[in-house]
Amino acid sequence: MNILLKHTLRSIAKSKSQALMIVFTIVIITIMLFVSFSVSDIFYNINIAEYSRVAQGADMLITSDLNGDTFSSAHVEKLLDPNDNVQSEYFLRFNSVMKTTDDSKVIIVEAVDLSEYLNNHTLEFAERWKGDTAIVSDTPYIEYYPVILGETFAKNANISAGDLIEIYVPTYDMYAKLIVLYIAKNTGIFSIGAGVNVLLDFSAIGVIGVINAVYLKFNDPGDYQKYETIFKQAYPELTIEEGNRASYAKEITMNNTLLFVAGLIFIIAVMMLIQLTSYLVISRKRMSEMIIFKASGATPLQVTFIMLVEVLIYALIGLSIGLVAGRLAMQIISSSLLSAQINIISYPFWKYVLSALIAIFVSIAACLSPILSGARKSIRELVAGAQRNIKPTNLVAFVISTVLVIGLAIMLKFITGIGVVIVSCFLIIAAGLFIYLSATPIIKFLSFLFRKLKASGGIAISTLSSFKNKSLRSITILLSTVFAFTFIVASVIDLVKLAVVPYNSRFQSDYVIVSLQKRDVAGYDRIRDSITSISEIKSVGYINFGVLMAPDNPIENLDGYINTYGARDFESVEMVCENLSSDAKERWNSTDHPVIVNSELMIKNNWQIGDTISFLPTSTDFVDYDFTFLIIGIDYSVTSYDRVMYVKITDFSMMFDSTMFLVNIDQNLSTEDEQLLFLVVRDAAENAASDDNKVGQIYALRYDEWAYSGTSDTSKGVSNLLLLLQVAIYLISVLGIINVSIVAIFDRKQELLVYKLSGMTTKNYSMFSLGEASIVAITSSFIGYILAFVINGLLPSMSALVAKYIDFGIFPRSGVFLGLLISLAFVIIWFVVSLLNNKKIHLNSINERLF
Amino acid sequence: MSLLNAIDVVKRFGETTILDSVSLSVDSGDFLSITGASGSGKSTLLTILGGIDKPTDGQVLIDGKDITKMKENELSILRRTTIGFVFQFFNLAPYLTVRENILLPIILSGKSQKSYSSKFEQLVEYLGIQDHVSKLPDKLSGGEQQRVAIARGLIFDPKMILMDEPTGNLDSKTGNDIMKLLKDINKNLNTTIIQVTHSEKNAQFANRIINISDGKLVETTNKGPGVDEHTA
Repeated sequence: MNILLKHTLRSIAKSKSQALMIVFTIVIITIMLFVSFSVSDIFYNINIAEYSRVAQGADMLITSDLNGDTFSSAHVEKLLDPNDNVQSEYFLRFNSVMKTTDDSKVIIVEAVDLSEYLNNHTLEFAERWKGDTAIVSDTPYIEYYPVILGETFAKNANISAGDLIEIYVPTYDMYAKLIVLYIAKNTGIFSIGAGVNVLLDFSAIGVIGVINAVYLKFNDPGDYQKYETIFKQAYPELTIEEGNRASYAKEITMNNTLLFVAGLIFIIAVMMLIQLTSYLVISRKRMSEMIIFKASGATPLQVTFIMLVEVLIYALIGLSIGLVAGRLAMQIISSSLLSAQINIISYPFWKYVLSALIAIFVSIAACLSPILSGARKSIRELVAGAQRNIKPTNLVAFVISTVLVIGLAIMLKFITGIGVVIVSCFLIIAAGLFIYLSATPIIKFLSFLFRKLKASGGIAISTLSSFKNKSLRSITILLSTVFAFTFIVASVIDLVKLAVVPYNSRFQSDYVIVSLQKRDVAGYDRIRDSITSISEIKSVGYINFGVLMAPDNPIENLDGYINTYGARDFESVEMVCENLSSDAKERWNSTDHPVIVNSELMIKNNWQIGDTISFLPTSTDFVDYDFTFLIIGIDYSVTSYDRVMYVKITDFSMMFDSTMFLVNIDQNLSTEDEQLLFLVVRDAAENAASDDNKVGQIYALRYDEWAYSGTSDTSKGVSNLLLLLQVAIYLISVLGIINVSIVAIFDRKQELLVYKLSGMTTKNYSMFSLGEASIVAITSSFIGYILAFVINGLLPSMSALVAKYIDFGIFPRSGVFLGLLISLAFVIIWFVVSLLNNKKIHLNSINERLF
Repeated sequence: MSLLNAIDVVKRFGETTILDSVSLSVDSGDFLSITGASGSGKSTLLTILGGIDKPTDGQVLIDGKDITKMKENELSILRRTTIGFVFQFFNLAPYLTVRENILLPIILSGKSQKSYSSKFEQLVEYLGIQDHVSKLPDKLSGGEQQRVAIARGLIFDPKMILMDEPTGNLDSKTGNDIMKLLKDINKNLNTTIIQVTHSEKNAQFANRIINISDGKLVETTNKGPGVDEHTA
């Protein structure tokens, strides 16, 4: 074996703990790189999963997007040329509820020609009803037609094959009683585990030939364009796109991936810092070796090469483990998120090679600075040791950088477009300069303050040495950077997570009663009053739902659609809006046509409180109405979709689709009493709404069921994945702090020996460590918070990437929490490591060369 | 009563006996040199006498108190108030100025620095480092750094100073100056000095020389040239 290689291996063996830390960081970096190369696949497939589940490989989807419009399957059939041999599959899909004896659940009804569907698609069944027959009546929609449920849904709802369930059919305003023929395994149309879809025959709900979605599969791919033209002409109001809505999914995927990668870059940067600090220790230990090599005639290039070989060894070990672990991580992630489509994610050779190459590059880049610095130094400089005292800070440069950071951050609030990118670049440079220059003056100032409080003992020593110690400044800079990086990554992940926050979660109540029938206000009040009369009910509000459009938006521009709610009174508004200002109620009551607008719309359209806006109807039926409102308040709810506003019900009674009653109950009820109360409320609502034996187009749901049950397990999976990522980032930050602390404290062993030699007691030493830790933590938090403030200014541009417009406020509140958390973690870690180090300091090694 | 009494001190590292039943008595005002070949155990003896290391067996009494039985905190206070240390590599805190380094034991004891300001002024003037008090150690020469270390050792008026090769890292001229200074301190301040040295010449500055060989002490009474001869 090459003698230098042999020597390097022996050297590594002498620095086991730091070598392990470097290898560990490279493993993590490689895993993250490998995962990131597949994350786009994951996002894409998660987004496409819901559509693919129904499409099952179809080329084209023609749909009214569940907006209530229907069309005729016979008409669609007529438009298909028999010679093209196009396969068609018709659906009537709608949201509904399933009623059981003790609960109500949200479902998506998927009506098809069931026998044909089962002929064309292979469904695996977990359970099958063994009864004589499924259909026992010729009268449809009354009872006992068959229905198929997904395995997970059935399990969650405690339903078995052979059970009878009731499904609300809005067309007939009745509950259809159906028998569960099969419980299907989570494949095919039931492939989304927590999906709430039920599959039944058109006849079960008394609908023949009326559909709202058709999937077409072409023999000749060229037919796509031909039929796109035909159907666009025939159905201009319908959506016509790829069967699995690939373009839509791609757009969402690109945005999410972009954000994810931005977060990843910051994570890798933090990992590089950890790697650098670890290597700094190793390179110091290698100082004597460098002297020997140089004394033996090695050139700086040769010394660089020798040191690089060591880093390469770390990189090769780390990336080998990382690639294997990355592949395993992907297997776990994809199987938990995309159980049915696990094979969609591919692992071509380039993913391995590129991950490995970047990991090597990152490893070398992280360690290059100490290597080059050591290689360049003369033997005399190396023998003299590192100069670790700080030079005085250039106060002018410090003031300039401070002014620049604040000025550019403020500027960012007022500019748009390409200017944001340019100012952001300058801001990052200014922020870097600020961190570098500000650490020492702030440490010095804090030391001065601490010294005023305590002029003797261990703390006093820390106040005398902290601002002259280069290592402490480096730690402060690292800690500030970790703080800032953690803040930005956490913020970015929060943004990505918004995409899976259910829309309905914006409303706050215990029960939600949805009425689909249009009534006058007296009719709604009657329902409200009947519920309010139940003694355990605390309050009931209600809102009408409809859609208006922002001014100057052409009707086909979906981006201009605004979900509009007509609220019965201000109490109803308070149940659906977050952080309303204190004077909103007074304004609501005293204004003729008030509107409370969600913050996203306010930012997107640059509206202000006090603006008068004229909205447009979505249908020409309402062009004669005036939809002009005065903005009197802002709703700060944030969910996956926030183009929402609230007006008075009297201003909006002419057009709406449905009404929601929001019911709050006594919170002190037992579980049994609450279950009973739900049934009482459900009956009361149905009774108050019923007319001529019809249900009255009304159904009741518990809040969690209504708000979250439609959330698929993939969405939950994404949310959990992102949460895991966030936790990983906090862990990495803590790991970084531990490593930096160990590096810094153990590196100062000899300095601490002098203190001990001069009579430093354990109490002195503890106070000294606490003093240093506090000074560093406070300084880092202060600088980190300023950086978070700067980053906060960049967040609106980032959120615009995913078409979200969020008011982040001028001062990031989460930054305060994060600052306290990181400071506390640092003080504890530093203190513990110091105490451990104290045990390792033996004064009998004092007569060695110390500095 | 002697200031320091080492009674039957034994130090073993594994199977190897470094100090073999060493007994030694040092009176107030003594200047003692401990000499011996490399690895003879002279530095080990010094660290045991200063409470830095513990003997395997035996007692070390300072002012009648057995320091081998003392807890670490008691030893810290002893080091701060009764014993000053000076070592070959100066051992100054790199992030403290000369002034702060000298006052380090005072700061650690929680005493007012002001009450020691005149003592501090006297010391830095006596040691010739009054122009360097605001400097950091890396701005000083080796001789100056060693003077700062001596000043730190003296600031609390210790009863004795223990030194391990105090001039080992200095050129001969500077080393000689430091030794003369130490002799001066011993004479004028009546501070007991115990030094370990391998230099025959430096050993002669003491009024007692002890040679250590095979873990045992051999005392050579020294009435030799001392400081007068060296200053000549």
